[in-house]
Amino acid sequence: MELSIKHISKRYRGDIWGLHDFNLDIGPGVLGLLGPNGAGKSTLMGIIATITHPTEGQVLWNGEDIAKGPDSLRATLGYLPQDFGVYPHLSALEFLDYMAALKGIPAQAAQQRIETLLDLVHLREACRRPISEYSGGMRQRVGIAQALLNNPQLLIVDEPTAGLDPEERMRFRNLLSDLSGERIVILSTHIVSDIEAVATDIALIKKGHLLKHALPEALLQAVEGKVWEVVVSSDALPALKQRALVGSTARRSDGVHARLIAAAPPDNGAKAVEPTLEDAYLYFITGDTAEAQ
Amino acid sequence: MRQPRLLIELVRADFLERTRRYSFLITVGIMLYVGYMAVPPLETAMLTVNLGNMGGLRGIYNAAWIGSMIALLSSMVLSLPGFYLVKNAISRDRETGVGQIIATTPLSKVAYILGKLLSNFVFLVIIIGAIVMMAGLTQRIRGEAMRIDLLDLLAPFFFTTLPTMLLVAALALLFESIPFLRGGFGNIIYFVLYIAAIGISMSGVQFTSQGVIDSPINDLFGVTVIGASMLQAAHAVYPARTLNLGIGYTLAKGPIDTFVWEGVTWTPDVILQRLLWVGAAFGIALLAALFFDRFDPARSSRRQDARSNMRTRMIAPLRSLRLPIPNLSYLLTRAARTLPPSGRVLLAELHLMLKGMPWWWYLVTAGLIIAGASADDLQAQQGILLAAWIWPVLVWSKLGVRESLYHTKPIIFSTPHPLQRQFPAMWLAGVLITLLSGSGVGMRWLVEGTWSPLLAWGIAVLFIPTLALALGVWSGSSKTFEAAYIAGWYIGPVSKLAALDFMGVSQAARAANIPFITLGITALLLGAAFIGRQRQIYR
Repeated sequence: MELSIKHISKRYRGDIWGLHDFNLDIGPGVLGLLGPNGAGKSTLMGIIATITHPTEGQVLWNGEDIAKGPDSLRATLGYLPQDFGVYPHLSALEFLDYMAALKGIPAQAAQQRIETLLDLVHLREACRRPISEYSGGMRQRVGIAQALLNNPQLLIVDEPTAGLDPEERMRFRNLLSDLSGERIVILSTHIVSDIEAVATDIALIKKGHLLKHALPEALLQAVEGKVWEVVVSSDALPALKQRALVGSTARRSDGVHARLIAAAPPDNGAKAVEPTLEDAYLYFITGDTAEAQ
Repeated sequence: MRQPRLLIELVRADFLERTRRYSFLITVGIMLYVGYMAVPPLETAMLTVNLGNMGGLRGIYNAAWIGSMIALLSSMVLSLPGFYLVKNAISRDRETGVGQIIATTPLSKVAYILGKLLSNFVFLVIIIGAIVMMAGLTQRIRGEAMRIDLLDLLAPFFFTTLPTMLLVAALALLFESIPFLRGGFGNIIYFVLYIAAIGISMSGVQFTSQGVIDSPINDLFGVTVIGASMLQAAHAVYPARTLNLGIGYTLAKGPIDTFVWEGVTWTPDVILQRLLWVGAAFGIALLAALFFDRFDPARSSRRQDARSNMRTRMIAPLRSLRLPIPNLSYLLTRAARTLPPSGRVLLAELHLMLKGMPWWWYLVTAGLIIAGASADDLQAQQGILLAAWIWPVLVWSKLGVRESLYHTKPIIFSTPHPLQRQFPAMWLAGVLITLLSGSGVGMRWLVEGTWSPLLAWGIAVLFIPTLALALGVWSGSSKTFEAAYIAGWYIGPVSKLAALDFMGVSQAARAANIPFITLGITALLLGAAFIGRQRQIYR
């Protein structure tokens, strides 16, 4: 099972490039897709999900070009887009029935699968109520269930935890981890902690280019010895921000505790700290592309 | 100072949003064509305004005649599509979520509605502008009178068409502000009102042995003012002729006589009559402001709760009776369990089309089927068929639109074989609903062997849902089909205009092979729908 993205570019009207010469090989596991807004994550996922045509390049699913034969991938694809809708007059059960039929799942298998998924996403009690009466989180769980209907080999989820409460978010992260063994999961999100929890490898995207594709450990190693914590007064904070990349700040009784990313200690009192994935993300995204690569 | 600026920004944003679309260019293009076609060439026997009862009679194509004729036609004709074109000013803000942001600004409800009124009006004025431009050009092309008097050309538009358009703009806002008139039901109600208004306007001017009688007070479209002036001028030139004001494409029998008409004298009285409609438009806009919920989600959810409670209260006693009330959803789900995926998709598409329809809709449908099967003479059967095939208009109009309307495109288009599995199922579901709703009359004709109407019936069963699907896929809006179908249904089968009688109700249509032409158009529409869906899937 392999997904290969070869020299993919996507040009929109007005000569705006969503992706530019993008290359990536993905194997089983959870690939965390990280990047700022407008980096091209949704464009990339639209192309892999066969609903957006690339301007140039190829996406190969087990060696087959998905632009030429999208249905072989679609048969085994689960897709949860960032903005998706459901039919408000249908119940979750009816909607999942409909989606199962569209995915070509035989009736009996569909029934069993829907039963399992309703339990998995905790919609058993509400499954016969019209979706129009659901909360945002419940609708999101219907979306998650439809993506898993055909037990997909390739699962693409775009901002899946948006609208979920902390408990549901944790449950969904666990679900993704459980699913990842025998399939490819592509998870796109702004929430670095979601990626930290489940991703087996990470792709960083910026301005339509692949900035870095590495294991989380490798990303963390790259910023090892470059993350510092200093305590400064509130007045000194703006000057500090001019000199170094400040990742986060916290006001305490002894002053402002600032977390900095810099090659050398920015201050005599700076203390080296253990880097997190968020530090690595900031280091690569805010740094110069060439230098980061 | 802030309110006028907010108002101007509101109109500007709305205007840009509406005009930066291909559909706007297409609309202007159609209007230019309509403006050109409204003045038939001199060598043809076609007339758009005919004053002769027997034979053709018209004014020469000078600025006054062309300006007045096209102003009148624009006022009457554009009031229908114009309403549907602008009836999205508030709903767009609601759907995009911009409305909730606007609601937090200091803009008052009245100012918001007046801004939207202005925006609707400006949009319609631009379309009228295209027609005016073409009117002037057409006068030169036809060349019967070369002097273009701008006052004669523009005054009828100014005093006739613009007040009507302002009223249309205001009505669109009122319909958007009242919840039960927002959707397809409101579109049908407007159509009924429009037909009634046309009838009232046309009856406002009559030619009798005593001369021209006009009563302009109920005349929304300005027919009476212009029509009476035209008839009086014609009567002065041809005193022995019986006159009649005919508006719309007609083929003159025999030669066309002409006379010189210098236009309406726009006296203060006449202008005041037209200004009354401007006042009415502002009155309607203020009424709209009264109903407008200022994008308060609590008000719509309260309404939903009230509806849901009422439903529960109504159904509870029925449930306690343990009557065998059929549950469509349950029956379809049970039936689906044994079917292959394609069959289940078809049942699900049927389910989606019918879900949300109230119980009385099924009751009326059943009534029309039974009435169709029991009616004895052909005329009664055709009348029932006309009713049976306007009743499901809101069901058909969702064909090809649902995926855009509910944002389900990405998850549906990424399923395997969407063109081979979902598209045919959707079309077939539409065909089955058309077949079922007209089945009473169809069965009767089959049993009686009324072959020619039955053949036309069978073709209409294919044509109606195919038209809905094609228009839905290409326009992305259910309004396009609702407006086009209701207008076509009225002009064609109901008014028995053979060329548009797609149901083959009139003998003339069947004799002219209109059903076979409809079948050809059906095939083209199905192809267009397929290509449109293919474009949506592989963008």
